[in-house]
Amino acid sequence: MSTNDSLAARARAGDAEAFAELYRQVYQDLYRFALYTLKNPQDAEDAVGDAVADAFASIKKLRDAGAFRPWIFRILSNKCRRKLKEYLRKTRELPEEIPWDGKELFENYAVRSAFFALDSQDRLILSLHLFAGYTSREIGRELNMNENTVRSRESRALKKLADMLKE
Amino acid sequence: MDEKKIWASLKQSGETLAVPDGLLPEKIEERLRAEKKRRGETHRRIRSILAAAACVVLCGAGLFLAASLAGDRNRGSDSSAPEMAGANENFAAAPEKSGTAAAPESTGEDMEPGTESGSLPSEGIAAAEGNSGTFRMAESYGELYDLLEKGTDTDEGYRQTADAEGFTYALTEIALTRPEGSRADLLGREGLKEWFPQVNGGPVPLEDCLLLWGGGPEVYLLTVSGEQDSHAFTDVKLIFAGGTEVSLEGQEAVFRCVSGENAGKIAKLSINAGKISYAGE
Repeated sequence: MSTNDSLAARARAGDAEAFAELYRQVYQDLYRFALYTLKNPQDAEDAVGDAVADAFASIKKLRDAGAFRPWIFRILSNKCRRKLKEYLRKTRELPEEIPWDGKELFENYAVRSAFFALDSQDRLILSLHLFAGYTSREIGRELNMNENTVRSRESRALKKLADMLKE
Repeated sequence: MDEKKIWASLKQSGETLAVPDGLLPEKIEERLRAEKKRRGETHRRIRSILAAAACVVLCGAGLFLAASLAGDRNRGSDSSAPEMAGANENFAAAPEKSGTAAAPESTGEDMEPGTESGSLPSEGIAAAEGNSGTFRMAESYGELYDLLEKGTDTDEGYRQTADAEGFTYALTEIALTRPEGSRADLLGREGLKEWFPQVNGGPVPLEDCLLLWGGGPEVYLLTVSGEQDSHAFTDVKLIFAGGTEVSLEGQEAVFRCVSGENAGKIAKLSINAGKISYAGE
């Protein structure tokens, strides 16, 4: 039995420490995914917190320890999609970008700003690919889209990003 | 810049971001332990409440049964029949519709078009209604609820915007689903907040909810906002369609039916001078 198998087995039995160990392997990408999708640090933190609580409550449903990463990303992705819909319903004003704190490379900040200018669906697709490691087929299955549509949307979004970064 | 480079830059831009302290594994572990403990206590409390409730129900049922048996013995079973018939007549004579303002328990079906504030009248759409059979104004929120498919998993889909003469027009595809729960509750004013798109501080008014070719579960939100306040819409339309592709083309939102009995048909809404109106087929 691998370490992850044994962690998953303990987590399924309600062991918070084992769950936290599994979470340790993905938490940075979870936060990045939520932040890049929602553009709002507070909402991203809340979404990850909620997703983790839901995942822990339903960990018994996880059969394969190797599937922990896509499984928890699926939970988080649903949270983020709901949040995006909430923004639309409440027409709530969102900060367009996280201000540059001067500590990180300006290039990174510029890339992130350009990414935040994409529409929410494009951000979600690219984030699922980038941080969750989903393939186009998996993204298509998750978002009820044809995988070719996912590829073409990805490609168009990357081109938009390239154009923005050129300016 | 090629795609590989952009992927690399994106990845790198994310790596420099610090994760908030509250999401560190140690903090999460503490939270989960506390949550587990709290849940255990809640379960214990719920079990004791349920046990108490079961006792009350059993006692009530016993008392009711005893009272019924005693009543039957005293009066005879036939004497209660006319009273019951009268009760049924009264129920049947009750008005089917009631005013929404005075009835907090009223459903969305009771809500007449135009009772919500925050939107402008839609003369163009009203003219289209009944003329072409293309767009029809929704009659009730219940009608819209019934068009949707069941589910809780929702997406925000395709989005396109256009700017003209100081106005921004946005077309958004919403995968709206019919939530679980009591239909009556979900169609009440409070219930609508749970699942129905909200604009300008309330649910999209019925007069702005349009059924295209009889309607379907695909939902498109078309909004107009001015320069002054990009979050207050000067006009809104929520369109329910089926098997339809939509795009903003020039000064029109064009709906193309791609499947079903209306396949090949085209309908247009004009987006001009901050207003949305019917523009023909």
